[in-house]
Amino acid sequence: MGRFARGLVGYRPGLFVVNLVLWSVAHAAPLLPGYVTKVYYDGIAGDAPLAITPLTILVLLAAIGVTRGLVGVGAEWFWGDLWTRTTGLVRLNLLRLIASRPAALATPRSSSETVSRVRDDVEEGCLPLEELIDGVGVIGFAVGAVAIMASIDWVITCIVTVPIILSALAVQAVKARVSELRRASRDAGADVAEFIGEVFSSFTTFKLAPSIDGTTRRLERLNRTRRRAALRERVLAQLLEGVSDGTAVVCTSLLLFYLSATGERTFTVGEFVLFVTYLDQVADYAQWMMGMLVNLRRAKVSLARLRRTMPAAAGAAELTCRDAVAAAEGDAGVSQGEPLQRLELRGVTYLHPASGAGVSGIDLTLERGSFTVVTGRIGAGKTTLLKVLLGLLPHQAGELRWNGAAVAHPDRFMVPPRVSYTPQTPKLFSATIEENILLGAPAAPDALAAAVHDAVLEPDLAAMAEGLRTRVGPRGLRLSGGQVQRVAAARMLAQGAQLLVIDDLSSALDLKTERLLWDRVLGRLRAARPTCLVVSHRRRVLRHADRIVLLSGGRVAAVGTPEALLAESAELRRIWDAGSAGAGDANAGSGQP
Amino acid sequence: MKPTFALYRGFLVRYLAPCRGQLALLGAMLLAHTVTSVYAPQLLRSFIDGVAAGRGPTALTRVAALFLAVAAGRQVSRGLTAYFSESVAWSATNRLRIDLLRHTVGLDLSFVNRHPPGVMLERIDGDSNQLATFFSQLSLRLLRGILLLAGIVVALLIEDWRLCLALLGFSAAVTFLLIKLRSLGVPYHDRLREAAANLHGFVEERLAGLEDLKALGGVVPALRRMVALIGVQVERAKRAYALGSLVWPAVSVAMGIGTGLMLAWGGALALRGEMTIGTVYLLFSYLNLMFWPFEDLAHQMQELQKAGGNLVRIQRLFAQRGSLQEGTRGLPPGPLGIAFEGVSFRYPTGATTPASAEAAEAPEAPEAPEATEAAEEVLRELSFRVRAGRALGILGRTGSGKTTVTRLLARLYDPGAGRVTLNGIDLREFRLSALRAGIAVVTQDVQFFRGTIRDNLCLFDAAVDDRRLEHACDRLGMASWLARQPQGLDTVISSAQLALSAGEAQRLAVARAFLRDPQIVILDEAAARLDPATEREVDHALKTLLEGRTGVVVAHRLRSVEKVDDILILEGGRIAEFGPRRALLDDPRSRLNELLTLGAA
Repeated sequence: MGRFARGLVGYRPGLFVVNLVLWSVAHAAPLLPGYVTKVYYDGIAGDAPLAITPLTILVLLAAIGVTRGLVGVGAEWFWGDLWTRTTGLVRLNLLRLIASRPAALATPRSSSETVSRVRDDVEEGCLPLEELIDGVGVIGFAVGAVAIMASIDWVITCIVTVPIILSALAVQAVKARVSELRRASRDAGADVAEFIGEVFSSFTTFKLAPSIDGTTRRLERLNRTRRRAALRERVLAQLLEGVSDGTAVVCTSLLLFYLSATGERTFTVGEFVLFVTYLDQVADYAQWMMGMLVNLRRAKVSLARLRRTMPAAAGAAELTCRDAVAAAEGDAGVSQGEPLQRLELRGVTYLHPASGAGVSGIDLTLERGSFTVVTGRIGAGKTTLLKVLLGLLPHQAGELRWNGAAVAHPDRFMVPPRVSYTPQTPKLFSATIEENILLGAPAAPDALAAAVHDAVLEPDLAAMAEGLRTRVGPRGLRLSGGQVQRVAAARMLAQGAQLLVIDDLSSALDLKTERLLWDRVLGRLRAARPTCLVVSHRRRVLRHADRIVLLSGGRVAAVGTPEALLAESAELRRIWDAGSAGAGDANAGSGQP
Repeated sequence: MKPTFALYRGFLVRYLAPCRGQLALLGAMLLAHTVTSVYAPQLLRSFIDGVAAGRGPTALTRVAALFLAVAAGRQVSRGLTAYFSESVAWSATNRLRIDLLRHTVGLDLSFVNRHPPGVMLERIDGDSNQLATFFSQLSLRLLRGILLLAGIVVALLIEDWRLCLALLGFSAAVTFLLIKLRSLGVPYHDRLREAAANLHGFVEERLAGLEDLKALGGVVPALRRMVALIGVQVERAKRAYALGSLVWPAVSVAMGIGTGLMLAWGGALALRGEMTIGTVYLLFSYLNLMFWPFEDLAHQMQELQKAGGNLVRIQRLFAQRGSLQEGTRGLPPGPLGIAFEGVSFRYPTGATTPASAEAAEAPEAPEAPEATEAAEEVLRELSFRVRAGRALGILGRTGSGKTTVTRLLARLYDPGAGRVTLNGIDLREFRLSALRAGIAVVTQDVQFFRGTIRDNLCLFDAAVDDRRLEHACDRLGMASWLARQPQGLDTVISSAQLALSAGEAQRLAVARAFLRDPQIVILDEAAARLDPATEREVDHALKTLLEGRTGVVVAHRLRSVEKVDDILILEGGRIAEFGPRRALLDDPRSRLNELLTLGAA
């Protein structure tokens, strides 16, 4: 927490100091009218010479008010700057850190649930910044007020500090309970957010449902849970505020009892008014400080939640890394390195913790320029194998070797320009088609045009008025499934990588388009000869393979050339026969009754 | 659009009315708080004047004790105010969330597809959360402040009518100023929240597509893009914070002048012996007491401005209407005959909707619609007929309009010209709920959400009992799969972590449709993503689903066509070929045979 807070302050030290000065002035300003008023009262009551006339008090108080107002406007401006900048930095680093985890495990519940971390927990986690800036002025006022009061009568000043300290301790005592309720309330809120997010992620399904009564009933239930949790948390927070406000009452009462007990006029009227005014304000400020403590506690809860979304090894200080982009570039460590000669997997294992399914003990060697097809039934572990190879899932045992050298961090290493990938269900982003293909890589017009051509995107682009500049809508929803898949293919091809990893490229394509696409991709392979690792059960692809790897139950069941494997594996023959009909390949016609 | 009084009132009435009982208690607590707050300074005045007059310790101690009692009462009423206000706030906004969800699910697919789920979440939950804060803190603290001001006015009226008038005049001037300043900040806060929504929409999408982003080295460029989005947010925040918060500095100025005037006036009177020093303190104390409500009011005004922005956005969302008109008829029983009669269709541009106008201001404008792209005609005077109980297979290139046909049949959109009928009755005449119950759609993009298998199958419909669910799984050959699940139907599956294989997901989607016992089944590219072995299993399930029903099957694999009776081949939104499958197969020059030959080449 401490290092995190230091990071928040150290991000824009100049701006921080400007804020600190302005807000300290704004918060400590009430000391001045309090003291001026005391002098005024003493003059009027005849306890002292009339130092301040009625006209002077008017001028003085008005001037103080105007100054406070001006300082306030400036303070808000600079605070808007500092707060948004700093929370932005933390959000940026959070995204960077989440992205440095194995991608398939980085958003364990859902992306909407994680976005509520980025949105709300960052907001709350950064509260220490606000408290630091407010704290100096607030504490300054409290110390100043107590010093002035003590100079008048130190006995009663000491007496009234007792309830203030006691109430602070009382608040400390319920500290754990506040965090607990806070957590429960945030969880209940995240459940509601996640539910709504999931409904919109599966919007068509709910739109086409006969009735959404059940769905709203479920939301009602989550709402109720959240209401209860929020109510508990907020009311306890309010009670804590009340504790410190009640302190003011107790202090003032103590002062009254003290004065009536001493009987004599130990206080001038001005001093009495100053005491009552300051006590009220000190109590208010004490309440404020309590609020800060509550906020700091909330910040701690949020920070703990943020840390759970980050890689285990990363410290909280990583969240305030000043140049997140450079840090991410360092992570990526992209350099061409030596060209791929041979990629080996030795005993690679990943089993999903929940289901126990996955791949285990995979041995596989990809020689430069080879074309390897992984096939097998659904659930055989094909996609898992690719994801482990790409570092999207961590390998629990075994190792990857690139030209014989062990790859320590496959997720950082197995990226363009070494490796490029098309997933089974590609995800596109709200941007233009061109931006989706390049994904921020520098645009080489030739490579882009070639990728678009090979991915059979040209006819679609020709039909769109804005061509490559056409926006694909959120998650690519404005494109058809086939278009999304071909944009993803172009995206992979545009990277010009040495190793292409393709997970079932053709699943959403019509026959003609699929054939054309494979023809062009395979043609490109002949020309440039990158190494290929393809998941497929299409006969056309299987036939092209240098080697087929048949997976079964997460293990390599057989490896060999198509001819050899067809001869020895009944399982492959089944896939081969079915694949032909399914792909509309050679025997598609005879498949008709 | 500025938040009007009627807008605030409409929301308060609609969402607060159901909590009348709690509101009454809340009112009582607010009153108690006001009375005790106004009375406590009077006791301090008695004390000061008592000390000045040299009264004995007994009298002074009595005043002190009374003060303690009154102040304690104030604390208690304050605590209860907090409880009731929070309680009302959450009840009210929970209703709002439900209303918003119901409303948005009724909106057109094209509207919702223009907004990433993150933005919709921000609209429904984010804005509601802000309003919860508004209901609990603001409106009630606002009320508390107003009541306190009223109480002080009454107390002063008893004291001196001239003072009271002066104070009223002053309050009126300050309040007028605050109201003037109030609406000034709304557009700034609006724009700031817009920037925040864009930022979080961006983050959500990148998290959802993290695997793609990472494997393709797109993380660093995405971070760069995020830096730019944060930059926009910073610029808007400075303006929103400073210009949207002019109320607070204005209160400082006003109260400085006010306190000065009051003390100068009271002091002058006291010097002439026309007012006790205790009363001067009372005036000062009331003004200080007013200062906090005023300052609080000012703070609350800032929040009110934010809430105003939320209300406007929520209102805009509510103003958004689905284009589908509700019909009145129920579906005839049994399998239904389908006909497309001269149907033309183009996707709506949506360029005039308020939400898209908002989006156009956004830097990246992720949901900005492309008018030109949308204006193309997807279907052109399409006419065909499917007799009840038969299955139609639709073939055609990507973009030929296959999916659009199914969307019109499922009435996600209405045709621009012509009509779609069931048993000769226009689709638009049926109740939407009846239509949704009678037509089941299975697409290749199977959408699952985090929840139990039961919830995912029956979409939270409690009326579906476990026996039916198990029976459905049984019929579709999934019994052994279900038996393998650790908690059976209660096993939680999730969209994020693909715990389901494509085949399982597909069969669950078929089960979802099967449970509805629909009269028409639409299968869109349903078996496209499967390996052949699994495809056969799914095929069995699909055949079971199609049995005794009218079916429309969009097919990419010629194999999928085996199970249909009629074939429709589309090209550029028109019919390239249409007829019974048998007849087309027998005709050597048919397009179908051409496709088959191509497949064999």
